Amino acid sequence: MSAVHKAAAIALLSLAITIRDRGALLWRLVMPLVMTVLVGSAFGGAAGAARLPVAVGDDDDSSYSRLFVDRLRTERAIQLVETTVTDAQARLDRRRVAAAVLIPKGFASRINMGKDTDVSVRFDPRRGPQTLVTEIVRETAMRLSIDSIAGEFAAALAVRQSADPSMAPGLRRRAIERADGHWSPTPPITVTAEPVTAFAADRRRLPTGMEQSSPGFAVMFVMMAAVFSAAALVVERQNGTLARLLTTPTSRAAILGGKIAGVYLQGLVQMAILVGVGQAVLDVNWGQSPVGLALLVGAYLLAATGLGIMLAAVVRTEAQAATLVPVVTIIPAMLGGTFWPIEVAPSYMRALAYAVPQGWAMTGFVNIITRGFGWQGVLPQAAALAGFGAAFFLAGIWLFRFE
Amino acid sequence: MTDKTLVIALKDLSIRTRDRRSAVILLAMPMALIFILGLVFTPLWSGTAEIQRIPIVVVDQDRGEIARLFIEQILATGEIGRLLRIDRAGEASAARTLVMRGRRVAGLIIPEGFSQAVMTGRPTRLTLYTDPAQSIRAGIVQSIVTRFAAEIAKRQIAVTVAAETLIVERVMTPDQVAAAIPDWLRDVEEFIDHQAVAIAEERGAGPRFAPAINYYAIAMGVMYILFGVSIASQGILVERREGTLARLRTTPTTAGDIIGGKLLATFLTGFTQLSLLVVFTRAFYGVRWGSPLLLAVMISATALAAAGLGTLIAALARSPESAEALAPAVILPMSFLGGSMWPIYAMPPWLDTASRLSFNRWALDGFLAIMDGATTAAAIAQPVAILLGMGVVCLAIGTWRLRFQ
Repeated sequence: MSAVHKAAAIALLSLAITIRDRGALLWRLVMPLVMTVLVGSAFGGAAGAARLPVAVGDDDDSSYSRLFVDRLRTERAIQLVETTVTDAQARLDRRRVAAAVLIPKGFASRINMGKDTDVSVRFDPRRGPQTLVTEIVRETAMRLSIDSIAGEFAAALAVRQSADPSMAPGLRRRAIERADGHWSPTPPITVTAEPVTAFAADRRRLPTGMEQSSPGFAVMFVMMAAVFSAAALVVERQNGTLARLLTTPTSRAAILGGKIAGVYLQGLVQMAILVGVGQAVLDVNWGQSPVGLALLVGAYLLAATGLGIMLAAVVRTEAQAATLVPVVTIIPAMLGGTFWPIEVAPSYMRALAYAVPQGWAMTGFVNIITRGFGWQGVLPQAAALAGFGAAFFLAGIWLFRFE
Repeated sequence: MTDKTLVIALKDLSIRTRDRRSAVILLAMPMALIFILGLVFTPLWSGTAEIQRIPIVVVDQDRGEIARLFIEQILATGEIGRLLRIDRAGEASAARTLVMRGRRVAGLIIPEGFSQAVMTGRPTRLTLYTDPAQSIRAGIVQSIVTRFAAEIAKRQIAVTVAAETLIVERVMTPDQVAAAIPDWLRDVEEFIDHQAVAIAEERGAGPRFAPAINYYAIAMGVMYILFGVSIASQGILVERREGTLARLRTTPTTAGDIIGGKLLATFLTGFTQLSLLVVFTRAFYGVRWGSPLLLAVMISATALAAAGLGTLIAALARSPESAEALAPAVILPMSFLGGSMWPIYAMPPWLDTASRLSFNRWALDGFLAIMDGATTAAAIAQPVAILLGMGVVCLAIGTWRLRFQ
């Protein structure tokens, strides 16, 4: 048997053992899928973000107050409860909602009378101000403020012209109504958001929570499993089975090569199943670019296997390995944006994502799934991952000892 | 409790405290995660994340007066400058590419004829290219741009509406209005900055907003105490396999003493771990945990419930290895459900309901109440009672199923 055949036999054996191992099944497939579905369906709103629970208390129930309610209702990232001021406040106090928008009774009539009025945006002190809610409310308030300016201006001109102050109230109210008519059906200036992707027009769709959680947990758990199973080499070295293999006519290169190929193959099968379930069951657009996907997965597994070999080379006991695996896999997974969309993190954390393979893998997968890129669009990420892989492997193989 | 129980418990505990591996997993790991989660979420929760300016690119295809005013005066103003970081691109295609690659969150295209349309009162539109992979921030940009676009339209609306109204109400004739409009365009300035509808952004009732690091100090502490007790209870399985449990039974020590000792050790492990995390997060991250007395009660109840759960997992597993695989498979999803990974108060209602079945939820509720400044036992009575109930039920089933050989 040639060295390559021996290596292949070792690799296939380790794959066969893994496939029959129920613990491995749990860790490699069940856990990532459970987490994907849980997290993805919980945060199904805008690209994996939590849909923000917001209550709007509208005691005025006028055409002006309803402008706020209608505008809030159209925002996908918000889950809106329409109720009274008292109830909205109570929901906020009970932490049922993150923010409450409160419109007092008499809101519209104050506007019509040319008096100042305000809408409160209250937020849960534990969660902090909610910029999105405030901005949306400001947007509608701006519209009404402009209406009021128009009403005030018209009334002032009319009084100046006719020298009859008594006509102002009625005229002001009608001018405000007329001004508000300028906003619907089309406002003077509409701002249309147009998501830019590389998808053909008919394949464009709104992002779902699964588009973040499916690649996210695949990236995290594939790395964890690869590092864990490479670290099993430590056990073999500790037990002396590695040294024993050396007494057979098998070269060091064939043994290590076979072990590495085994870890890589296990990861490949795991990833293929996670991607397949994501695509077929969870409706995640993994299949947009099969070539790009293959490049990324291939390169990511190099990085994952390489990290595992490096860890196996550095640590001496099984206990050390078991301690270090979560440290070197979970922490970078968090930094790399596998748990939450990286855009929610502050800029210094977004920069840190580039320091870990998971960050590159996530960018690459999101480029395919959400941005619809072809293989050319993920070359930088695949190259970076291959770079991580090469560096880990060089260090790992150089440091690796059989006994 | 007999002396033997105590001896067994203390022996187990002293072995465990000398294990460096456990120290890393049970203390260093949560400390690191609390740190990272705090760094990520503190700016987001405190509302300062958006103040880190969102990068957008603007393309002026109009090159008219109003577009220039919009870009140079309105978008560059202090308020918006704090929210957005704006740069320019010559071509829409360049902006499109920047957004598609995710380098800018959004691209604002001011179309040809924009100024003309605004000045003549025709409806017009601005196009905002957005990156679907950054849709949260893109939503904020859209709202800001819409609001400030309205700013440009306000003079035009005010003058148009005044003209329409005065003609319809027969205050002035169309000819008089036409003659007056140039003056009105100047007169309107006096009215234009008035904000009739103000936004009062207020903090709701209740305790002050706590930085994310405080929340995650609790959340991770509660999650890792589960890992702690599950590792501790796996020790029972190791002893069973190595036969030391059976050997212990040949001595005049009752099964009750042994189980009692092991459970006590598991409980003490959890209690020590959580107490150390409280001390460390206080010392290193400045987390203020609140009333020490209530905290001691809460830590005890949490450790007891965790010990119950750990014992149950150990009792259901056949070997230490299967317990090691089973424990995270129970702990991780339950921790997600219970708010240890993402705050309970950011969850959709169904998840909020489901979380009540988890250990983490009640532990979190209790600790959060204390952190919020609770000083009376009543504030934590419900979580403590539920945790004790969970602990007792799990312990009962666990000890019933646990085998010595």
